[in-house]
Amino acid sequence: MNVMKTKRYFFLVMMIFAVAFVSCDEDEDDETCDSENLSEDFNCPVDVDAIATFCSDGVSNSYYTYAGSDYQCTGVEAATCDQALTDIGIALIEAGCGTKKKSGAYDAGMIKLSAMAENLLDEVRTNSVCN
Amino acid sequence: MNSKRVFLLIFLLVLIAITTVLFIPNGGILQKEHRVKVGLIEKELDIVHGSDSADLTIFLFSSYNCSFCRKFYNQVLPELEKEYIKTNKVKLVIKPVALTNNESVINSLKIAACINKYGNFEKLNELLLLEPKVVYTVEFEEVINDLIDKDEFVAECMYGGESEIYISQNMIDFKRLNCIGTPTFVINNKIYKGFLDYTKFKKVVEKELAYTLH
Repeated sequence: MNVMKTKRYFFLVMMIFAVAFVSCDEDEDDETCDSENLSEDFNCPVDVDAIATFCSDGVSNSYYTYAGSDYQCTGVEAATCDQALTDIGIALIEAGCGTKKKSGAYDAGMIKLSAMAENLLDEVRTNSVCN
Repeated sequence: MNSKRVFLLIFLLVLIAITTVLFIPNGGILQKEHRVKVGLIEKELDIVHGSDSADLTIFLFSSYNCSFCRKFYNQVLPELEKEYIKTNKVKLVIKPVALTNNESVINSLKIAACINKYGNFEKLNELLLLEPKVVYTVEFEEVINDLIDKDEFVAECMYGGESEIYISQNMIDFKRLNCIGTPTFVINNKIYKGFLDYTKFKKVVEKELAYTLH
């Protein structure tokens, strides 16, 4: 009787393992990732983690990951990741990296403003205070 | 039914009864409101919408870099303005906070507070809401310098310590109230953390107005 019970339990446990194994088996995708250290580009102090990871499936999707957040590219090529890199740049500046490159010149190209923001900047300059 | 099962059944019933008392709205003991005097006061550099005679004052800790704050300004504030601020029911007092030590961000908040007090804040506010990353650009830095050159009050506010002390005090208040993120609202000594859409925010306002008026 006990042998029967043990056998039943054994089969039950095996069934559960089989179901769990099949359920957890995910299709592997062909995504590949590479880490990039942006520390020098953004003149970061040593205590700031400036390692971003670039991932791409080589077909339709590429993105950067930095500090636990994903920054999506608009296409698959690295050239489509300008906005993602700008956003990571801002996160790095907020984390303590510099807005100046090592040469001392401002990296003016890093942040691109929309035409509307450019116009507003002019309006702020002319309309915010009396002369 | 054996005695073990009876005991288990009684235990479960008691557990359900306790849970019901604690969590059912209107009657549950957790519904009792916990208000602690937070000691927030309006300051000269605060960005204020509405009049001093309004029935209810809402304090808002806000940052331009926070997307949910911008969502509040773009989606909720226009409705709030129409229904409660212009009708003198509510006054909104905005206290800008810098959730970073970045100099550009802190300078942008200082100039915002100074222009709000001594100049015309509308366009600067619009710009910071539209493109918060502008604060990291050379162009923005140049505009700040231009404004300082043009107006001695703005210059004094920026360099005389007024704006620096103000932004630091906002951060001290923010941390003292154990706030960790923006937007955070303080109404009638009660702290509401996070973004609420207008329907939910309106419910809060109505509830707090009723609390004030009774």
